Amino acid sequence: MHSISIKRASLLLTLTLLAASSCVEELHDAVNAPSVSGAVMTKVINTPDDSEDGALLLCLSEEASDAYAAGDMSLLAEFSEEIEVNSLKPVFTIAPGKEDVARKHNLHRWFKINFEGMGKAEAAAHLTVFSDVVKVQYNKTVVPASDLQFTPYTPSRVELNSSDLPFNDPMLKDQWHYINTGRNSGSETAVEGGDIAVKDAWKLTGGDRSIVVAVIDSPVKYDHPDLAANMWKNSGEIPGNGKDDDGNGYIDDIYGWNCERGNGNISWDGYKASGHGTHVAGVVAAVNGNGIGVSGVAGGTGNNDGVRIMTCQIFENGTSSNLDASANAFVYAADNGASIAQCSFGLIGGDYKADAEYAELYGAEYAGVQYFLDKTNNNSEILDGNLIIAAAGNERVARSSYPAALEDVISVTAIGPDYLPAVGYTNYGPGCNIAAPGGDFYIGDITEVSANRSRVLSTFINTVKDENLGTTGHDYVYMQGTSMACPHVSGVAALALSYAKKIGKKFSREEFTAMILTSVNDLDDLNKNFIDGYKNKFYIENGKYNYVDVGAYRDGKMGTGAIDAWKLLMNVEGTPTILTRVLGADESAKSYDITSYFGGGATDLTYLSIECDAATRAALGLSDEKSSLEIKYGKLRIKPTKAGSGKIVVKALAGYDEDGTADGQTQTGAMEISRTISIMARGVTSSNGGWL
Amino acid sequence: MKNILKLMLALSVVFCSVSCGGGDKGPQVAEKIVAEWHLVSMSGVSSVPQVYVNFAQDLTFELYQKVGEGRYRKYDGIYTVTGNVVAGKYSDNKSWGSEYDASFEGENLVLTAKNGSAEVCTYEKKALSETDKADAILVTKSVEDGPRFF
Repeated sequence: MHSISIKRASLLLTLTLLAASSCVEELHDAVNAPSVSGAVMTKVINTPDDSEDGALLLCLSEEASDAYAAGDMSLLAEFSEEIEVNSLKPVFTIAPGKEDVARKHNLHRWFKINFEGMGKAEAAAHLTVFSDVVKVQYNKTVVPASDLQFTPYTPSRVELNSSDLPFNDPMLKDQWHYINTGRNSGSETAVEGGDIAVKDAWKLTGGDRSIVVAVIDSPVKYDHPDLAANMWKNSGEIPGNGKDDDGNGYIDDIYGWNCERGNGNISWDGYKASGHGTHVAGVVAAVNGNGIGVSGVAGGTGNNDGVRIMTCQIFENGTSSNLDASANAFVYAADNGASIAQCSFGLIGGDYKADAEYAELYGAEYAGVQYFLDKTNNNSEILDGNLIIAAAGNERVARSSYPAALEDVISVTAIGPDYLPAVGYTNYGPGCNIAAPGGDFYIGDITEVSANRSRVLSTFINTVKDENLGTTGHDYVYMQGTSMACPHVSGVAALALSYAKKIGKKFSREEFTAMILTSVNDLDDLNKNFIDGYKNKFYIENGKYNYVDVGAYRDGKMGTGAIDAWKLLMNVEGTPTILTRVLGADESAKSYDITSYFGGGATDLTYLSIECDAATRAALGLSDEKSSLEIKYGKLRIKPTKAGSGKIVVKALAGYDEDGTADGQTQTGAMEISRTISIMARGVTSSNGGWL
Repeated sequence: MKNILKLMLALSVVFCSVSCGGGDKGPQVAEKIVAEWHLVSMSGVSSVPQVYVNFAQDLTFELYQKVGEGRYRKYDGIYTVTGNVVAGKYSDNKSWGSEYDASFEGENLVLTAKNGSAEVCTYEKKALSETDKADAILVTKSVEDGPRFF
């Protein structure tokens, strides 16, 4: 079945090469040198640095994969002749009924091999010579998009009127990221309204039990008093009986799946356990109106109506994980009802510069991502496909990290309570799509306790020890990062799906994504410092506030703008027609505001095209000349010559794109979005859009 | 004394009728326009959006419009009636897109634009539901970013 002689010859070549190298990294470089070993060596698709020791991921041939599935262990036996194999297991669990879509994305071909007795580069070299080994991937480390530092909650002296607080959760008054009064973040430069505008949105909906958000992260403490009621629970599974009661392919998966251990034991007791995932989950859907703790964006209205959180644990120790765990998490989430994957993790930002590069070098995780996004795996009643929302990363580099940077994934950058980029950490630039509050400790006087309140306040694991204070028992803490920004967008998206369900609306995933990315406020709407190009930052060195240049973050590099929950819910209801005036032959085209379609940053977006069919041209009396219909300076310029109505489709780039092609395959790019704009031409228009 | 007041009132009516230059249309328009109106037709188009306008006695108006999708947008402001010409300003100080010649066909109000377009809109007497009014978004600026609930 497997050609040993060819393998032997190749192995000899490889081992010769190995002998010439005393350094595994050098070996890796060498084995990838096509001039030495040709196609065999190019099977190693990434580098060994920052990857799991004693393990590799393998993509096998169709034949070998099928043989393994049929119980044929001959390949394992052959591997064992070359290296000391501890185990060879499929990376992915293929759920019953999902065989076809799993096969479509090659999930069945990915295996994890654990071994000992040699380094991973040496093992990789051995494995490449097998003809049934198509790819060898080092199991790279992924990291949370947060510094993991936290500060226990201490109440501020700020008191808000009960009319300003929709829920009786006592800490809501200090959650400036939901309701920013300009006084409740401990920052002198905070601006009123510098939040996600969710207060009014909560009057329309607080969530819906049918919406499930998978938090792919460190464990969500499912018995946290402010989360327990909003946890997704697998009703078909009997806890702890060692059986796959519901036949979903996973044993004892109650609240989700521990993708690192490969079991249903969601655990936060390990060494250096982190409350990161629990903090993220609280932003999405901490229980609202229960009279304790904090509020969550889609945590309901106090009537057991919040969205539900599924925990997909990929960080056992809180600080890092490996690609096979995150890859698995996407598959578990897809197969068990999640319509949103909330991903506050990623590879190091800036290391990878194109979707194609990531897809090639991180094939297993990419397969998991594509599986989750495959529309046949849709779990939403509202959309025709699932959503992935991911953190842009905290390396302060001008490029989003992956997987957030993928063209099909919404990448979230972070702003502070000053509604300006969190320049101390947030990534920006290509691949970044939208901004949300992630906190900015550095804009406060960091010698004061109050500066901590400029971070994001949410739920936490009370057994995690505060290294500074030496204390535990903290159920609520402040943290910051794009990790904290990301769940704001996930929560708002979940809220909008809930509202769409309530009013009976449905959308394609692409329509809904465009609506999210255009339901924004321009970052310079609230804080003129962004226009001026500077923001205030406290410097401990001299104990003073100084200006920091934020000019590099402009021109769409933070995405389309800052998420606005209210605007998204209004977009769900429907966007009003733009009223235009019928013009005479001697008049020039008139400009009309399109912020209701493209958000507060409409004038800064790059527009790609306008599609207008013949019927609309005829109805509005538009000529074929470009000047009769175009987007100029972020406004619609149109010259209708007769009364009527029609629709046009405008395509734009959501975020910064270096070459304006939105071709993420060749280099990390913006997301292409399109909005359908309704236009009515009549004899009278007022400049504010009023009918009279 | 009463006779003097009656005489003054009669003279003022005559004066107003003459000065408005519209025969008896002036007072009729000013009085008859005070109601809640619903757009039912517009020249040149086969279907019309949902538009309600309430001209109040105190010369303020409230306009609720749903052009396309979404909830009603509310505009308000002040208006004047000079003869049969109606003009107005929104509360954001922006003028109406045109002044209008107002006339009545039976119980319906007909507003004909005076900006050269000759657009004719016909309104029936009908009020928007209080629920829709309460849910409307107040437009205070050129972009819809005003108070969200009021």
